[in-house]
Amino acid sequence: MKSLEVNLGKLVLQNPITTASGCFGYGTEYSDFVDLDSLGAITLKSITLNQREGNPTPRIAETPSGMMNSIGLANCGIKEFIQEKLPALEHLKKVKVIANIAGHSTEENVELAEILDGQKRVDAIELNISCPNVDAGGLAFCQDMAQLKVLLNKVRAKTDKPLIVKLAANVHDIVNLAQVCEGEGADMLSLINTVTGLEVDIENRKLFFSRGYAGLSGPAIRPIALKAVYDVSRVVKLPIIGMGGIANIDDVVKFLMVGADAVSVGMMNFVEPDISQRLVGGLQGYIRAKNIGLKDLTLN
Amino acid sequence: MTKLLEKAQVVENKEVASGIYKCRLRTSKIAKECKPGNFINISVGSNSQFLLKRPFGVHNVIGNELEILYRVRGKGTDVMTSLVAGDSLDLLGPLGNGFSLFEGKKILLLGGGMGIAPLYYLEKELSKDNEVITMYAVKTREELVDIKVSNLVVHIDKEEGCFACDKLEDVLIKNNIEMLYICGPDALMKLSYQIAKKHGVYTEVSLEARMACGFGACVGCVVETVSGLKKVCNEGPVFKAEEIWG
Repeated sequence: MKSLEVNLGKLVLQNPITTASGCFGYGTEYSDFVDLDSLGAITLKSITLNQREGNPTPRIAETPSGMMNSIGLANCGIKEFIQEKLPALEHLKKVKVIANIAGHSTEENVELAEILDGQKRVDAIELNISCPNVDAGGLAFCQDMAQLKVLLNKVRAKTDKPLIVKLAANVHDIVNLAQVCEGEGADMLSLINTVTGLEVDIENRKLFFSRGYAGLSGPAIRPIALKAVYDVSRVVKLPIIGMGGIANIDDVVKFLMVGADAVSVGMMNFVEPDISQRLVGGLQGYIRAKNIGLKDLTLN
Repeated sequence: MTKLLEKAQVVENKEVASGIYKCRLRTSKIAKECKPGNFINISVGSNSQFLLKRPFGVHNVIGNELEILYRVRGKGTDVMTSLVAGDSLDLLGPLGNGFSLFEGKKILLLGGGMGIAPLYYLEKELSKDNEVITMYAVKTREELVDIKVSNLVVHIDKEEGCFACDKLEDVLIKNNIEMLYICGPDALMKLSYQIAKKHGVYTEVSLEARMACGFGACVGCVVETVSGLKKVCNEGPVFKAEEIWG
């Protein structure tokens, strides 16, 4: 069998198939469907210092080839995360665990990074600066370069674990944003978060989501994500985890060809809960059938 | 209870009342694993308009087949009406927590509209060891599905000029009801629970919510409870009524 191992700088994955934060719970939700230890990495749901209930319902809307969400970073808080969620993944030996942090302020993110730095089961920290569904933090960090630099500097100082920064595509200049991350000590990038959108409840003549805007994900955003990965990878040297509507092996190959070093499956986990593991087998089959290695998956 | 992914075959899909369909599916394992109150997620088709699976309460289980009852309410259920015998679709289940099962009790089941769907299967199981009355409330006669249970009380709002909950107190008292299970519109469930609570009748309700996954990962389907938000999919869909309304 050909090796699917990928080297993302300080983070080595047994294969490039990972799961996207927010679409994979805390991992165990999928253990009926997937052998978690068969995956490259799982990225857990965004965590904040305190428990967050999240946004009012409705939180979900279906769209052509996708869905919108306005969950609002609902999560159990760092204490329960460490006491209950991480220990439930302790027995896994091969899969890497990526903790995603989404503090509302620089200080909160710094504190989260410091706490997680001491957690053995956390193999990398992903900094979510691109959630469209919250008032403070989130996407706002992507829009203020000075503040972003301070944030990255301070978080970097608190952890030696691989630091991934997750960016949104609906920003003025994602390449510039990626360059800032590279300059301020990020180890890799996750591209892309959901794309901000709007839905309307025509029956009641109001915006569908209580916050108005919500995040679009699924195959509908795949071309946007591919472009982001393509643009950024041509300028920035950091390893890239590409994501946005991956639904089959062809999609995985497309992301790898345009410059991603690994990929994340997002919304499609909800639709086909066993998809991530099937894609590992699918990728193995793909490179075997073509008689090539992972490194050969590039554009001509 | 392990959640399973399967290809199921449509055995029958027919209109059983105005705009209401019953679909029977042959499964290899899922049907046998379903308990009353569980739900299943169904992929409507390969059309990318409808990527998300739809949740349906289990209406009946016969061997390795299960039935769902659905009302055409949106584009997804509209597409489902064209399913025919032999069609294959992706099924995920059993999902959620079922109703509590007791023995030797006097039990009332109250189904409002499509809320009758999961109660039919519940009745089949409960009536083995309990005295069960099923109260089935609809707005109009056209939406009445022919339900075969032993003690059935049909209530048609339009014909009786009142709601089912207006008659509930009498039914509870006359039959010395000890347990009440409700599935239906929120207002019906809440009002009925308040009446049941007055008489010390233990009540469970089955809720409905928009969800993307059905197994606790997306956190889209939350409902407010006395102890904070809870997920309808894996902390429900059956809740003690006191958890929801105090």
